[in-house]
Amino acid sequence: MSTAKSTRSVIPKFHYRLEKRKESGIFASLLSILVALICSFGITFWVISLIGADAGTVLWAIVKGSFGTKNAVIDTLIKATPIFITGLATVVAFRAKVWNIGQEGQLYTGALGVTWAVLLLKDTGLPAWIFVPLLLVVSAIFGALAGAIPGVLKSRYNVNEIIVTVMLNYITLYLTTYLLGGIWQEAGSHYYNTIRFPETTNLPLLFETRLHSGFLIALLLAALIYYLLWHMKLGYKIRATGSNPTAARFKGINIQRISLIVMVLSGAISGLAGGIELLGVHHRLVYGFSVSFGFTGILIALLGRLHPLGVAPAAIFFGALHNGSSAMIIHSNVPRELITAIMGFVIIMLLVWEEVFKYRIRRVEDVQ
Amino acid sequence: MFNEFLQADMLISIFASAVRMGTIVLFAALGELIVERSGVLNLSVEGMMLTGALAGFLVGYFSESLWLGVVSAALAGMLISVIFALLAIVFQVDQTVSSLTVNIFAAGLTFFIYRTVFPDVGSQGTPNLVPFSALKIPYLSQIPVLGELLFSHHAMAYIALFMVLIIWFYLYRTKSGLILRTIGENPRAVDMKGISITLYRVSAVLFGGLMAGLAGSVITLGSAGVFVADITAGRGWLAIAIVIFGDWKPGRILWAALFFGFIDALQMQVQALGIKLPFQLFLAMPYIMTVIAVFLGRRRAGAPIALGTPYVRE
Amino acid sequence: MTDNVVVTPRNEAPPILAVEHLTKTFGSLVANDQVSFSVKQGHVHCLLGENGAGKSTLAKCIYGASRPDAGRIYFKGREVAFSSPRDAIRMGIGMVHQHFVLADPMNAVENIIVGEESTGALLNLQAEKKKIQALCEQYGIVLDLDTPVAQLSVGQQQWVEILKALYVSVDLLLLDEPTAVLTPQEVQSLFSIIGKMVIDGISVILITHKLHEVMNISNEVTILRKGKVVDTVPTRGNTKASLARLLVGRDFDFNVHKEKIDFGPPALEIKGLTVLRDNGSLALQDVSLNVRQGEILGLAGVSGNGQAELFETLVGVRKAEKGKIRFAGVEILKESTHNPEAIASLGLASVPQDRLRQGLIEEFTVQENLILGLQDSPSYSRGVSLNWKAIKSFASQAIQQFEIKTTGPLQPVGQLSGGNLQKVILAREVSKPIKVMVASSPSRGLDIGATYYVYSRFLELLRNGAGILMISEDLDEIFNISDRIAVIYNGRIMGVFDVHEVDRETIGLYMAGLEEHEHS
Repeated sequence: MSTAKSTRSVIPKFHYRLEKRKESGIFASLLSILVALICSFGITFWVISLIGADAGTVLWAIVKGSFGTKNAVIDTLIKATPIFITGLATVVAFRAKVWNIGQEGQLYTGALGVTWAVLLLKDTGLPAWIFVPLLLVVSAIFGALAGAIPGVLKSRYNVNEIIVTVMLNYITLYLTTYLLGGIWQEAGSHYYNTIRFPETTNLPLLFETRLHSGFLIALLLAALIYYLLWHMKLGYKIRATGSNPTAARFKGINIQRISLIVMVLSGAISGLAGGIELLGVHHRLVYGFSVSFGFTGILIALLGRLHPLGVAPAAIFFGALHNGSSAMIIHSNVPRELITAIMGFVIIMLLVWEEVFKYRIRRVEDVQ
Repeated sequence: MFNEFLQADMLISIFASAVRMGTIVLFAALGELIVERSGVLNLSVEGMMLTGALAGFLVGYFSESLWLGVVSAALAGMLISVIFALLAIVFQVDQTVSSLTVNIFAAGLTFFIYRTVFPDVGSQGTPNLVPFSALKIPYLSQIPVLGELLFSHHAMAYIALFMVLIIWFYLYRTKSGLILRTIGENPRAVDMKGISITLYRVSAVLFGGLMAGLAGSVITLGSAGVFVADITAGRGWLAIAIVIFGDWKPGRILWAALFFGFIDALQMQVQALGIKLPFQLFLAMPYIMTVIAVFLGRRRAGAPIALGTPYVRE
Repeated sequence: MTDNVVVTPRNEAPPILAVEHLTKTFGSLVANDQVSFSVKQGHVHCLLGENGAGKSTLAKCIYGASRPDAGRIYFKGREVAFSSPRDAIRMGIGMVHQHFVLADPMNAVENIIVGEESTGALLNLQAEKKKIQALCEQYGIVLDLDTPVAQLSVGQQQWVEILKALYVSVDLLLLDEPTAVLTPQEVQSLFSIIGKMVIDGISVILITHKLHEVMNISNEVTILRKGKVVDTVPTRGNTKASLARLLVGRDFDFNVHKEKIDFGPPALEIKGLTVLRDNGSLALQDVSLNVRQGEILGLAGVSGNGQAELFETLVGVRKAEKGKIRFAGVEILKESTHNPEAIASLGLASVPQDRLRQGLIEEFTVQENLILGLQDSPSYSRGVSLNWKAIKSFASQAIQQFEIKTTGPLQPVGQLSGGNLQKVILAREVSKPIKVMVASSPSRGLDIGATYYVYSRFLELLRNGAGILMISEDLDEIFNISDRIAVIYNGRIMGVFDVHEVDRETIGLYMAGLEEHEHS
C-alpha cells in the first residue's frame, strides 16, 4: 500500500477517456445547431459550384427573393404557413413518441372536408364570419377523423402507426383524384380541380396585403401548443408518455388513450392546415395544392427540435428558401429541388452534431 | 365480363406478372429482413429504394448498360444506408427519427440530381431507356402454364428468387447468420464473445441498403424505363409490411411478396378490362392491403426481441 | 494480512489465477478496493459476500467484461489485461452470469455455438449437436437440445450456460450466484457437475452469499465486505459460524431501533392470488398475505420468484387470473378499480424496484417528477392546466424536507444520484395520505445515511397508521425493519414468521425452496 502511494506521487499517470453525457447543456445544444448550419451552408456552396453556377450569386438571389421586398417577405410568410402548422402537428405527435407520418394525408382529408362543406353550403348565403370559422372547424374534424384511424389501430390493436399513416397518405391521394376526376370536377375543366369557392369563404387578409390570416392562426396555434405541452395536464401526460411510457403507466397515465388523443389532435391540426391553405391561397380544391406540406412539416418539426418555438423560425426559414428558390431558378441553372435535399442534409448534420457534442474528454488519473 | 376475366390465359398472365411485381418488393424485403434480424428497425427502405431507382436509371441511361445500372443502384443504396447506419447505430439517434431523416434526404437528393442532370424534362419529353426484356429459359419456358409463370421473366426476377435461398442459407446454416440472429434477440450474448455488435449491425444495414437499391433498379430498369419523382410509390414501406406479415422468415416473405405482386398485377389487369369501378380504388388496393397486412401481422411472434433497441454495454 | 495472499504457498500447485490490488470504481462508489486473492489450480474457490460486496464486479473484471481502474491480474502465470471477454475466453476463462445471456427463441445448440471460432464458416448443426450431447453425457447433464431455450426451465437454462463454457474447454470457470434460481435437486446436480469439472482439471470460482454452499463444495474461500477482501481462508478447518463472523463483521448490529407500535386491522389483504407472466407461465400461485396497519411485512425471496409480478398487480398494471385483493375497504381487482390511478387514489403508495425505469422520468425535472401521477390532483392543477406555482412550492418544500441534493426544482432528475432519486420517489409517494406502501428493495444502492433516512420515513408512516409491504432480497434489510417476514419461492408463499421467532439461516432455507412452512 505505502509503496503504491509513493510511485503514484513520483510519476503521475493519467489517460484520457471519452465520455458520453446523457443530455447536452444549452450551450452545447446551440453550438451544435450552429456547427450543423455552417456545415450545411458549406456543402450547399460546394454543390452549387459543382453544378457550375456562382454560389454567391445564387445564395444572394435566394436571400433577395425571400426577404428583399415587402412582397417577398409576405410571400415567404404565406409559404411558411401550411408547413408551420403541419410542423406543429408533428410536434404534438412526436412528443408522445407517436410517429404520425400521415400529415400529408390528413391535410388532404381536411381539404376534402372543406370542399365538401363548401359545395354543400355554397348557395345558403352564409355570411363570411360564420362560413369561414365553420369551414376551419370542418377541416379540423376531418383531419381528426383521418388521425383517428391509425390512432385506434395503434392504441387498441398495437398496429405500427408509421406504416398505416404512410399508406393512408397514398389512399387519401387516390380518393382525392377520384373525387376531382368525377363528381367534384369543375364542368368543362381538363384539370383535377373544383369550381372556385364563393368569396364568403376567403380567409380575411392582413395589413391590406396578400397575407391571409392563416399565418396569424399558425402563430396562435404555436402558442397554444406551447401552453398545452408545458402548462396543461394533458401536455404533461403527453410528454411523460413519450419520455418513459413504463413509468407513465405505473403512475396511472393511460398511455393507450394518450396515443389515441395525440393522433387525433395531430390529425386535426394537419387537417386545419389543409383548410387554411384552401381558404387562404387557392380558393378551390386543386390536385397538387400541397407541395409536400405534410412531409415538410415533419422536417420542420425535427429542425425545430420538437418545440413550437423552434418550429416557428424553422418554418419561416424553409418558407424563405422555398420562396427564394423561385428567384434562384431565374438566376441560375440550379434546380429548385436543391432546397429539399439541403434541408434533409441540415437535419442529418443537426442529429450528428447533437450527439457529438454530448461527448466530452475527461482526464482520468491512473491509480497504481 | 367475368367469364373473360376468369379465362386461363388471363389468369396465367396475372400470375406471371405477379412474379414480376413481387420481385421488386422481394429484394427490399429480404434486405430489410437481414437488417431487422440484426435488431435494427430501418424504416428508410423507401428512401434507399428511391436512390437505387435513380442511380440505376442514370447509369443505365448514359452507359447504355443495364447491368452497370443495376450495380450502381446497389452501390447507391448502400451509400445512402451509410447515413442511416451512422445516425442510428454509431450515434444511436432514435431509429425512427434516423429513418425519417434519411427518407426526406433521399427524396430531395434524388429529385435534385435528376433535375440537375435533365434540366429540360417536361419541355423535351421524359428521358427513357429500354428496360430488361424477358429472359426465356430455353425449353423450360415452352412448358405450358409453368413456362410463362416461372421461366419467362427478366433476369432480376430469377436473381430475387435465388436470393431467398441464399438468405435462408445464410441465416440458418452459417456461423455468421447465427451470430446475426443472436444479435437481434440478445446482443449481449454475442458481445460477451468479443464480437462487435456495431460491425454486424452496420454491415446488415449496408446490405439492406444494397438490396433496397437493387429493388429500386428493378423498378426503373426492369419495368418503367423512366425515372419520375416518388417512383417507388410506397413500395419501400410495403417491403417493411411484408417482413412483418412474413413473420421475419425468408420463405414466408417470398409468399407474402408474391401475394402483393398478385394484388399489383390484378389491379392492372382489372383496369385493363374496364370493370366499372373507379380505377383509383384499384390503384389504392396495394396500400389498403398493406394496412390489412400489418393489422393481421400485429401478433406475429417472430419479431426479434431486440428490434429497435440500440445496444449499450452496461 | 491480505498482502501475503499473492505469494504462492510452497510445495503447492501454482495459482491459476492471481489478482493483485484490483480497484474498480463507478463514480463515487468504490466497488472493489485493492482486492487481492488467488485461485489454485483444480480448486473450487468461493467468493463469499453479501449483496453489494463487489463480487460480481470483481468477476466481470477477471472475465474482461469490465476494465479495472487499477491492479494486476495474472492468469496461468502471465499478467493479462483483457479488453473484452473474447480475450478471456481465448485464454480459457469462462463465466456463467447471474442473469443468463441467452437468445430466447433459439435452441440450446445454437446458443452454445454462436460466435465460436471452432465451428467454421458453415455450420454443421448435427455434428455440433453430437459434440454437445457427448459433453452432456460426460457431465451427467440432462437437457433437451432442440427446444427454444425460452421454453426450458430456469435450471435447464443454467445448464445451457455451463455447456457454453464447457464447449470451449475452459480452464477456469466463474459461476456468479449459480444456485440463486435452482431447485434443491438442481443445486445437487450442479455441485456434482462442478465435482466432475474439478476432476478434469478445471478450476472454479463460485460466487455466492450462501454459507452452506461454501462449506459443501469449496476448497478455499475469499470473503469480501464492502468491496474489500476481509480474508482468504481454507474451507477445511472453518465452520459456518466462523465464516459468518468474517462475512458480517462488525456491522452485525446494524439495526433500526423501532418503537413499539400496536398493529391495527389488516390494511391490505391478498387472498388466493394467481398471476401470469407475459409469456403465460405462472408467476404467482395462490398467494395469500395480509399487511396490518402499523406493521412492516417483509417479503423475502430471491428475485425472479414472482415479486415483480406481485408488485405490478398491486399497483394495477398487471392483470390477475384469480384471487382477491382487498384494500381500503374495496375489492380492487374489479375492472373498475384495477388500474394505477384508482388504486393510488385509494391510498396506495409504491416505490418500484427499478427507479429510473418504473418510477421516474429521466428527462423531467425534479418538480415534474414530484407530481408524476398526482398531476390531476386539485393541489397541483386548476381546471385543465397545471398550477406551476403550487408545484414549485411543493417541490421546494419536498427538497428541503427530504434533504434531496439538487440544484433546485428545475434540475433534470437524471442528473441525481441513486439515493436522491429514491428520495424524490419517497417525497412524491408520501405527499398524500396513504394507507399502504409497497416498496421494492427500498435501500438498494443507497449508502448508510440514505438507507437510515428511508427507514425513518417508513417508521413515520407506520406511526400514522399505514402498513408497509417491503419486497427485498436483502436479508439485512428484511431483518432490520420487518415485523413479520413472508418468504416467496417460485410464486408461492413458503411461510410467514414473526421476526423475533426466526433466524436468517431458516429464512435462507425457505428462500431456496428447501422447506415449506405449515401455515394456515
